[in-house]
Amino acid sequence: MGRYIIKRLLITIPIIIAVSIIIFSLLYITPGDPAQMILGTTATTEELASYRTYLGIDRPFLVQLGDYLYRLFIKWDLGDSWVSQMNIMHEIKLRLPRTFAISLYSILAGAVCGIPLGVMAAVHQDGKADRFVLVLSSVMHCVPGYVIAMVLVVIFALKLRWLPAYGIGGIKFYILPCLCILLGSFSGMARSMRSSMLEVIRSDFVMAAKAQGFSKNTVYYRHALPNALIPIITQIGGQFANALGGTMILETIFSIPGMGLYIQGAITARDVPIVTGSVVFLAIWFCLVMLAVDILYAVVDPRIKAQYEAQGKARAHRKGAAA
Amino acid sequence: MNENMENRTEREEMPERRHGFHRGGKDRHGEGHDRHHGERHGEHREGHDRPHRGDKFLNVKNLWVEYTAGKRVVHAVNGISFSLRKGESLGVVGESGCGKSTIAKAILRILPDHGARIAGGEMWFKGKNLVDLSEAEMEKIRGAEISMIFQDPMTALNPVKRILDQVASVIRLHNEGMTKKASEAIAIDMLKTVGINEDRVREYPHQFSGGMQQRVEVAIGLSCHPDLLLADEPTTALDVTIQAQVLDLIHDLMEQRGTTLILITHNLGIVAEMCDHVAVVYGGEIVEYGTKREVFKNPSHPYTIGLFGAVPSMASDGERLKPVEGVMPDPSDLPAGCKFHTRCPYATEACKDGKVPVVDLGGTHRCQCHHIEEVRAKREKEAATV
Amino acid sequence: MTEEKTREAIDTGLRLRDDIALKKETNFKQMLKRLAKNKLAIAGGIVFLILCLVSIFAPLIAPYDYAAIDPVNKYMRPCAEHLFGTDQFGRDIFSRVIYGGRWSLTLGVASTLVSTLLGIVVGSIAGYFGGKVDMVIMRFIDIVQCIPGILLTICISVALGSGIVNTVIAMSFGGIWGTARMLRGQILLVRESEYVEAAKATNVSSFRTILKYVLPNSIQQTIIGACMGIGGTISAISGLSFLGLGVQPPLPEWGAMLNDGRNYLRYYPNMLIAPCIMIALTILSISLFGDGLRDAMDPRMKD
Repeated sequence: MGRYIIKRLLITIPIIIAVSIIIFSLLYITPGDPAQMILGTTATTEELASYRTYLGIDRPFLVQLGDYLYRLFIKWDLGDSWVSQMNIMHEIKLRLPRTFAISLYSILAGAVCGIPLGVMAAVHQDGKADRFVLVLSSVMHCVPGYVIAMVLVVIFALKLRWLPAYGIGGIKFYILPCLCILLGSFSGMARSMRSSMLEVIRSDFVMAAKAQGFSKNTVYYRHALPNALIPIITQIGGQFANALGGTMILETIFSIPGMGLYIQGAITARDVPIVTGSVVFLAIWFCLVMLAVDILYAVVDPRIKAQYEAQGKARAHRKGAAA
Repeated sequence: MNENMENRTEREEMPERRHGFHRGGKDRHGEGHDRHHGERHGEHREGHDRPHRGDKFLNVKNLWVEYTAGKRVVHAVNGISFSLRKGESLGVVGESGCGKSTIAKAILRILPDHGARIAGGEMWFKGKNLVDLSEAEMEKIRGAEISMIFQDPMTALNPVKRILDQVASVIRLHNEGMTKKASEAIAIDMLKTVGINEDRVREYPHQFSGGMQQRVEVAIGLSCHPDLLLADEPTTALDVTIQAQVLDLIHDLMEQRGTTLILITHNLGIVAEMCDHVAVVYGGEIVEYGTKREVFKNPSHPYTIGLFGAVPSMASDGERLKPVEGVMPDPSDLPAGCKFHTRCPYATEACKDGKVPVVDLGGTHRCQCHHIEEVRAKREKEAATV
Repeated sequence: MTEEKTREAIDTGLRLRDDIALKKETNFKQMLKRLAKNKLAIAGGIVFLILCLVSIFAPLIAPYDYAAIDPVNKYMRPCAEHLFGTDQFGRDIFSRVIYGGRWSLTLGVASTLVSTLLGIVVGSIAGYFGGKVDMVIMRFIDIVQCIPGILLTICISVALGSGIVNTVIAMSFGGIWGTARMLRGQILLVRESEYVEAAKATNVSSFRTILKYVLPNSIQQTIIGACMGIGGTISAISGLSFLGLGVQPPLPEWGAMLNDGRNYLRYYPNMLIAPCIMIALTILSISLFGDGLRDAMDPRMKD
């Protein structure tokens, strides 16, 4: 197991480097002159040229890329924003907690409410809980998230005036954006929990447990549930891994200065260091969450653990044979 | 990589399996498992030497089971009756989809909650009608007095629980107040009896081969010394050599404890080896019933004869097997009259409508067919020419 | 291999090929039958078809031009002349919604189609050739999937600039990899099975083998996935327009219309309701049809 984790962590390094190269190249080919955008249309040609030299974007592509990678991975320096001259690391430290808090709380709340509801729906198939889950998840699937966000704003902020419509401040400001993610993740979670649970309930070993005399509740909650939860781990992990990028639209609607809004603004302003730095951050985040999901998998499912260990062993074995 | 894994398990357990099997044999008569047992185990000691064949012990009367899927109603079991004395064994034979598994699930009342129901009939077990019992009463019976072994051992064990836990938790469930330690000790003995070594009991099902998993199933099935064991194709998923070992194991344990057995299979050879009585099931009905001798010597239903035609025998060397022509009718759309008439070579107009009488052929032998005389005449003629 | 064995392998190959062809045909017929029985799926299909027809014949149905500005009749409530009212420039919302389908539906279907096709190509190459090719492709997929999908889409969309074709490229790029990964897994399963071995023994080229034997068996899930994906893509495109990327005003893409009406939500909700309903209706109809298709193709998966 330890060998597997180390292997995965080592693989993460080239992946992150590759991600930063891809993003850097993508921004390099993006049309538009950053110097022009920053200095405005009144700037003279000389001013523009000198500013380009200042930013270092008059050098050949490979030199820029090399310099960028050197600063990022050797000196651990994300650099400063081209537009505002602010230190990017500092900005990310300020913004990341906001995005993180929104996604963490809402996804956890979604899981806490969605999983029991999905289990109820499966256990009482065609019952009230089941209908509710199916209708709610269909609605959430059909209506884009930002529409729901806008509706919530109208109801709770504009009509009822209970909650602020945008900005940040106290905890009140987080309720609406959290509610939006919560509704989506909650209905998705309930639906997958339902189908996963239904599948497990129909499997032989659950019927066998029933045949051995275990009560219905024991069969459902002690035998079936642990098995049914396994695929849900991936879903929670996936939601969480993608949440930091996915809050972009939400942060726009609620004007929350988090990572999403930061990156989005930077993309349109061609502020390359911000985009690359943030994307590298998000990619590392993604890899770590996925690793955590896989480890959690192994903890709950001995079959997967055996697979990981076999992978490690097979590799060691091959190496031994080669030597 | 996966393949690698499996090979490894297979190789490692081979010697153990052989070894364990013999050891198990000795253990059965030795001090073995009685050490830790509570009262439940004591009451069976009298039947230890020879099965005690008492009065009617299981009596199923006119049992009907339906499944509903949307608007479709599947008539899985249509008015089945049979009875067994203690210690007897019954083989239920038929093609897949004929409703034979449903019979076992109906007796244990573990039909799926959603869409399945016992539509009529009585099931008397030790003086109680199982149909009328509450769910709580059934829970006490399941696993303790009646237990079941499932067809596919690969899917019938909980993949995320250790073998020992799975056996011990059943023992603990039916012996109130037993400590975890005591139940595990019994479970280890039980697993030894079925040929699983103590050093492997803390492994997970996926680390075992199919045969080993089925042994675990047998151990779970017999761990609380049930009076009735339902075995639903217990060896179909196993390869032939392992099949014989598992069957021997079930047979020995039953002989020793006087357990009653209902064995569901499509393999007549297994019935010949294991059972006293045979019920041939087609379209959810018992079309022929009798002792093994009666049915094997004197098969009277065209379907039974068809099944025998599909069994390879040493005597008819080189001859092609004759499978029963056609396919099982869709159980949601069973034909009127005799359910077998669509495939029967003897079918006449009379077969296509109305109820087919059950003809008593002496002894316990009965058969549900209009044409028993013709069938018998033809069979005797064929026997004479061969 | 002896001559006899080779012949045997060829025989098996041919027989299996016939079997597969036969099975495919009956399977397809049965599938259609099952699909026809599913009323919800049929309803979904019909609604989607109507939406498509409405977009195609938009000039005949829409009473006004989608970009016609009318400064006199701004912010009108729904009335007889303007079914859904007018927006801040006095443009007829009903006409805009009708025309909007042209962009939303085309973009959604085209992006899904492109990403699915490319996904099939990439996945087949990885799955069929295996070895180093497979490893390189899979590592690349690992890398791309580390970047949050919407971020990648936005970056590409900004890099390429707005416009229909560029939006399709930006949208489809993110969808390729999931399809490819799934198809590769399927192909690996099928590849090991007997009849592909038999096909190899009959000396058919590897390209034809992929096309004729491997794909038909692995593609079912891909089709279902694509069908379900159209709804998600339409939703994502409208999200992109909502952020001011993708389709540019005055084109009446539904997401862009939502973005336009955002600031008038409180007093003129009619500006948002119509495009919102259209988006929801489209996604609902497609997902109903996709569900039905899935159940029809593989009845076991029904729950």
